[in-house]
Amino acid sequence: MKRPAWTVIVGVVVYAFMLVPVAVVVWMSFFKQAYLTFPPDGYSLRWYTGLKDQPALFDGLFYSLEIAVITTIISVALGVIAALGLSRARLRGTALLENGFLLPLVIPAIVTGMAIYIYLYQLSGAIQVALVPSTWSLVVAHTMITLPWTFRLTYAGTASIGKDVERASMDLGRRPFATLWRITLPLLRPSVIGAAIFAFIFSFGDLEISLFLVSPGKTTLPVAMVQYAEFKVDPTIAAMSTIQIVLIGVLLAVANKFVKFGEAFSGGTKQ
Amino acid sequence: MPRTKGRATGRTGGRMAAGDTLTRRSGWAVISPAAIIVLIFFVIPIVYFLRFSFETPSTTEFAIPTFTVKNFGDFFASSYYVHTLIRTLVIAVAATALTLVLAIPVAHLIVLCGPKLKSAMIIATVFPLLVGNVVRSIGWVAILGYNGVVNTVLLKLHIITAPLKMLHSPVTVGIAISSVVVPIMVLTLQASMEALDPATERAALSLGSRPFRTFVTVTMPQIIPGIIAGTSLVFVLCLNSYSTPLLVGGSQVPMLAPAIYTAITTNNNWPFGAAMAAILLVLCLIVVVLYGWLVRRLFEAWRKETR
Repeated sequence: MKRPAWTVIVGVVVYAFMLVPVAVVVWMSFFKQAYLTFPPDGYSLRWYTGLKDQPALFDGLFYSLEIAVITTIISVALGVIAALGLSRARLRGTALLENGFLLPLVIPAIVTGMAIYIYLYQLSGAIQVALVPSTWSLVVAHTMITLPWTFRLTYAGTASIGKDVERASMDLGRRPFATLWRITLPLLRPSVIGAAIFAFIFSFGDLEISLFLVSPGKTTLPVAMVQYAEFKVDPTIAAMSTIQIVLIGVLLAVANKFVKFGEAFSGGTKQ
Repeated sequence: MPRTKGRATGRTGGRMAAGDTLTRRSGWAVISPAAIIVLIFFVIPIVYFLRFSFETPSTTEFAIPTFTVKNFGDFFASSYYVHTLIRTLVIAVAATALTLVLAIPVAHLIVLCGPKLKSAMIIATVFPLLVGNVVRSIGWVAILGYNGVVNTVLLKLHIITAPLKMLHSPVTVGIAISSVVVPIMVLTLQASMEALDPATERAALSLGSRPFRTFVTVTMPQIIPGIIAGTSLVFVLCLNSYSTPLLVGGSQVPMLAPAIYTAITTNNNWPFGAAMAAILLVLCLIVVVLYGWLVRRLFEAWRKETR
């Protein structure tokens, strides 16, 4: 069908509206001068090498990577077993369980972060072990917000591969768990890889939940970035942002082979 | 279809046709770790947090376990917090409306494109979303700042003689928030337009209707559910926005989410912060449930009229 001219014009404007802020940040990271003026006096890479003198940002990057890796492993494992259980057994309360796994999507992130903090803090008092702030509390909270994504993507995957091969495997005498492990899981690999990339990205980029769970001396990258940018926006913060943009860009390119983005982002909303 | 009890496996041949891989018991065994973890680390904390918002604040302890509505009373008695709440709602409504207007043509364009271009456009939509709110808010500060891109361009073109103060205004906060959430709206609307039968549009066009008119009278009514889903999702995200009001708006444009964090960190008053967060949560739930119901009802009445 013909594309109406007005949608093409608006489309270009809207894509600019979405992407120009990202482009400006990348551009700014190469500015020669330390303050913000357009166009720049010249270009330089010194803000990137200077990042190691910014411990909050530099350490924040590695702390965020560490948490994102652990979160991804746990969240994918939980998401996969939840998806397999729900799709391969007819359980009473399936709809309730489905909604339960997607629940964190509709609760405001700042509420989730705060609720988990209060709960773990009170629990610490009860059991006399300091649970917050800690790396594990962050991992737990990130697992909760990434689980809807890992669950949704693998659940969609289990629906699309069908049950015929599993039935064949069991007719030939394989036990159910062996069938899931040897037959279903390998077939699910693309969904699982996509889910892992999404879990990593959402954990790595989370701000609102981490705010409550980081300790003053040890913060994740987004928290460190927002604290820095609240004070000033300069090429240093732009350089850190650019590193994040490149990382996400690479992961997105990889994920593109495994995930249908349109469905991944709009599939879970009530229609 | 009768279910085999206990042992749904085995060499039952064709009788397994509608059977499941797992029995009810082994299904529960598989699912319970995830279900228990969500229960312990998500459902219980949320319930506990709602109860906690009714406890009494204390300067020496985390909270005094009581039941009082004082936190909520204090919130609504304070003109600062009430104004913050109203400002948050107004900005969220305006940003959602702007987002919808911007996203409709883009979603339509994506649907009309061939597979290659379509997937490129979807990736271009998802990319800024995944880059995160913090980075994009930093970008908006660079664009709107005193020496920012907009001021520089306007000065060079001699449209203005002195830089404009665009940061710290509710309007720019709304625009920046809208830019941050627009991908969500595009993707939701695109999914709902994708499900339409293109023949209805083609029929209208072949009968001589202009493309814009066709879109408004033929396509739009069919995607009302998608519009409901998109606007409620985006509205909730706008209510929750943290980094954009903080960086673009600063202290002059306080919104609910940053105000919650500030209330807690500056005064160490957790029960009051929890009460504010509870208000935010209830607002979000009202939007998701009530708004969807209301629009669907209006839409039903309208559809019956046009029939």
